Amino acid sequence: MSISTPSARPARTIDGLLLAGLFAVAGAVTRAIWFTPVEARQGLAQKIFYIHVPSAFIALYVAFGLLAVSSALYLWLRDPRLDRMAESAAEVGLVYMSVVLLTGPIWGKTVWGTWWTWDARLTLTLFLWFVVLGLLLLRQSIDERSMRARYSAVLGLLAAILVPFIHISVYLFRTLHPRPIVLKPSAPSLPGSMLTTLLISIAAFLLLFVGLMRVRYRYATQRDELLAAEGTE
Amino acid sequence: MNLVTPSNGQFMVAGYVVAGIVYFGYTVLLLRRQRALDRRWRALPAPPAPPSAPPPPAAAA
Repeated sequence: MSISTPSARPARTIDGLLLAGLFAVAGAVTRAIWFTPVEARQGLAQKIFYIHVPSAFIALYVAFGLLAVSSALYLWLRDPRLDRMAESAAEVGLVYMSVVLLTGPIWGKTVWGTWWTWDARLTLTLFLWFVVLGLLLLRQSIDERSMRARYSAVLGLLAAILVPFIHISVYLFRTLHPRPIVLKPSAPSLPGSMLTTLLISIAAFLLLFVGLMRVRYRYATQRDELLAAEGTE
Repeated sequence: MNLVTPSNGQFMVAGYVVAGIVYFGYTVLLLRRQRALDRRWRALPAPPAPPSAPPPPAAAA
């Protein structure tokens, strides 16, 4: 691994992609709140859908997908860049998952009449959140770099295995959580304007994810270089 | 069928505020961590200067 000297490091600027992601999310939220029809039965609370679903989609399929792929590749290739990628995907994915777990109950209270229920979809999602949190805490507790990377890669793979179970849990068990209305074999069951807003929201939150990942990955790289330069690792 | 749309705008606001706090809070946390890392970089002793080049030969008179 190359070690940069302090003088060789580039000057710090705010990441353009992160800024673009924040603006895109602000635009998507504006469209969702003011320019998308109100769902007749659920009222305004249904608009939580436009942040809850994109956050869940990106956390489960993008962030934890990336976590699984980079963890598996790390176990094969032992490249520290893959470990940093897995670490970054786990942390940013956990943030997205936290939004899912916080906005879901707020929406659920208006539709189901309860904040939380221990059904399969919700319980598995909470369990996955704790597994990924455990992965990040495990990383803090192991000093030896290769052992830390190996253990967290195994845990990252185990966490990602939960994702398909979470997806199909609404088909396998009786649950309050609705079945997918977009990611399903048949056509999406949403009116056109709502579907457009949902797709715009997914694109915006994806852009924010890429921006956050870039900043987080660069942080991990520079931290490792600093530890090497300080001679502490 | 008459459908009465529930007035539950406060739940929508709560959902968006909570999500905003999490995303914006994490972004700020990330940038602060980066700044703290930059400070640690700057605190490192500067690398030794490279040996100075020999002076250019005097121009022929």
